[in-house]
Amino acid sequence: MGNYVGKAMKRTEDPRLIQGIGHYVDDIKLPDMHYVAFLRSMYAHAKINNIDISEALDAPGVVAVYTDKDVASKIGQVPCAGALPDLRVPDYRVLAQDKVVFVGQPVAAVVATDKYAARDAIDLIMVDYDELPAVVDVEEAAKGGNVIYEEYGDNIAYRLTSGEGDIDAAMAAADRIVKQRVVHQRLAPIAMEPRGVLARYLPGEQELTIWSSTQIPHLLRTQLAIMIGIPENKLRIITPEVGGGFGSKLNVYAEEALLGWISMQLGNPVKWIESRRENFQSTIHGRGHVDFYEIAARKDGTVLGLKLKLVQDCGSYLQLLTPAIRRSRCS
Amino acid sequence: MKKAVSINVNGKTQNSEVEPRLLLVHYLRDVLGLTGTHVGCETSICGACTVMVNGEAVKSCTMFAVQANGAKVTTIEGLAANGVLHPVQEGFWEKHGLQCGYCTPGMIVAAAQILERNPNPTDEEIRHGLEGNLCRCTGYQNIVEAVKYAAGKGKTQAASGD
Repeated sequence: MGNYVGKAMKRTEDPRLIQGIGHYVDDIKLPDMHYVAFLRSMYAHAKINNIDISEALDAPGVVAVYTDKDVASKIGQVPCAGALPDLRVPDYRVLAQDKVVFVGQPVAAVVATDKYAARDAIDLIMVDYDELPAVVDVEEAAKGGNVIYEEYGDNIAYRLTSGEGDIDAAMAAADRIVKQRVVHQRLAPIAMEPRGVLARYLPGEQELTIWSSTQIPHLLRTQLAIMIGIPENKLRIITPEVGGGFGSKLNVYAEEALLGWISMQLGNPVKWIESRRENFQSTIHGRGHVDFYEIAARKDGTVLGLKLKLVQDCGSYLQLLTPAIRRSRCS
Repeated sequence: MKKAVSINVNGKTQNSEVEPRLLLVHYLRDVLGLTGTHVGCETSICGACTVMVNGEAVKSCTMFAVQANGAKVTTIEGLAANGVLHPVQEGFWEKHGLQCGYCTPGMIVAAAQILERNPNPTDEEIRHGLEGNLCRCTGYQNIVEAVKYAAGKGKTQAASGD
């Protein structure tokens, strides 16, 4: 310890990073590897009437095209780990089922022998949408109006009240109550390295290996084994170099399960590397809440009590840790 | 239809047949296997894909491989000579100029160009020279320190007649 504490240490991982010889997911290439590209929703809210993949299937280099019909009964829902009372967890499918609820939601997956061919074929998929009114303002959404999940009747994921002490007494005893509305704007974490997944299934050994640019390889293994339906001891997650995450890679994503499953169908390794546009649209964002503060104070500045009403934009779906993060902020 | 290209990459002439729309960065990464050059934004904004083309720092995600036909390209893999790190590489290691390392190759190539043009830049000149390169981890302070370290190293070498 005496040799290290208080001293600047040169990092052991730097020699490979400064020479460009480290390995991020996209730097790994496997024999017979295919490439995956996603057709994503251009609407924030729309009903899907039909998806026509015939032209894409005939395109040069295209190996397969998958939509919800192919995966609905095969891959489980994208998980939410929240266990709050009365939490409403919408059924988050890896590919959109009957409607899309956010711009960038995966609608179809194309597999091709070349990444340019996969991207080209995306443009050949015809989706017949009926656009529906979008909900983009968290305060408006909370009031009701356009309901995204009809089965719930409103747009409220959950309500939680917590606190300590006697806030009513504090308010009553205050010389002054300061009220303030504070907007924490939505942010896109934007790691320099977008997300990326490489999956390789070995049919003989029945072993699936997934390389993912993730912050949570262990949680990912447990969750993906459930989603894909393979024993956890037959699934290996490898996290190579990760080019930043800032919480955006602290999640289980549809693409990770899809790539694993596709590799199991085809017997080829498959790779998907997120574009920056996809990263803005499909990788989780943070913040996006509106806070209403009431501070009970004496004339001399002593704070007697603090009351907070927080309206949080949880997005279209609950992510792995969305409800837990919000809960920690409220308690 | 594929086009024949001959590109000198890191001192070695490479002859390949490429699709006209193949991006230079994909040529370097996928055809030659030089994966040190990264793709961050595909739009020339982030600078992760910066390489030297005929001595100029260029964002290889918005240049076609066919446009580099006949050119001399230097990537991050070509900076260290005979196992000795380039002074800028050394500076990044010494001054903790990186965390995740994803922007680093582009950052180092761009910084090397700054020092080639101006061996003794001010902080402001370094920051201006790196405007086209984004880093999300460091806050840039240590990157500037790394480039200054490399500039100082250059001066020492000049003084000792290296």
